[in-house]
Amino acid sequence: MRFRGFLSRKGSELSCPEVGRLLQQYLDESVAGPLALDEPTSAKVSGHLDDCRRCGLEIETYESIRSATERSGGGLSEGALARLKDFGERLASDGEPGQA
Amino acid sequence: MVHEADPDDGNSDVVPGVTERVGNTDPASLSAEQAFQEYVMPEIDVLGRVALSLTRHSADAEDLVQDTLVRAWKAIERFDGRYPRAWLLTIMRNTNLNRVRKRLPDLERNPDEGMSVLETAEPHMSAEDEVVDPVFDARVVAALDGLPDRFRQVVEMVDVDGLTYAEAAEVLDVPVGTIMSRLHRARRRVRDELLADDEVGEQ
Repeated sequence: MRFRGFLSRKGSELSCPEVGRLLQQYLDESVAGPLALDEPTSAKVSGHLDDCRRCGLEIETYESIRSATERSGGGLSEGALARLKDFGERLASDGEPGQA
Repeated sequence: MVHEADPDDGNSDVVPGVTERVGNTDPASLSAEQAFQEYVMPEIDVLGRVALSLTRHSADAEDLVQDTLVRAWKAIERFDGRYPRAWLLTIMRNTNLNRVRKRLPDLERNPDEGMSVLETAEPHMSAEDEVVDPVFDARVVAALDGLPDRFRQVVEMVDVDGLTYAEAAEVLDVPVGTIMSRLHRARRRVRDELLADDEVGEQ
């Protein structure tokens, strides 16, 4: 186990508290758009996570929570979606938009 | 296509980071029906998920999507073909605001408001489900369910519905930075709750 980031902050390395603050933004890379971490920062976080067991476990916890959340969402039933698609089809095929 | 000032049709704001449609069709060459097929119909699944996050009730969500489709159809000729999802989400936001305003007097009419997500969610199977701990999942869902709506909605929109920060900001009409801070605070609260459960269990 290495806490090198926590104990000594050499050069451009990030400390554990700093990584802790960036962890979720790092996790959200694909959805954050302009708020995503810039590449050098992202690489520093990634390097720290490879080396530091404590922060590695922390991001694993967040990843598990996000996966569980993803699995929890079923969305509308197939029946409801079929009705809506049918409604959309009829809307577009019957008449002019202004009269809808 | 002519742009008219219509605060409801969502054409006015284009947000960086919002998923842009991939395609080469020139919107000006499409009929209204073709444009609706091209831009609106493929988004119905996403609209359904977001509507469920907003309303928490399948029947209300279905109504909300239906009303959104009607408004989108009416506005389709003014839509410029860019960012269809953001455009539709803005319409949905405005439609939902109108619905909420209309029913404010009878907000208390749903006796089953507190029905848990566990009872209403449909199973969402994936390959990794075989190694998933259902108890952990249930604890996460319970923790999410206990969050105030403004936090829970953001988590559902980003982590379940797959919206970007910018798209969630469109639906909820708040700055993108607010989405990020609510999302991060919400996940931290879920994490803290899970860890607190663990500590109680170990005693």
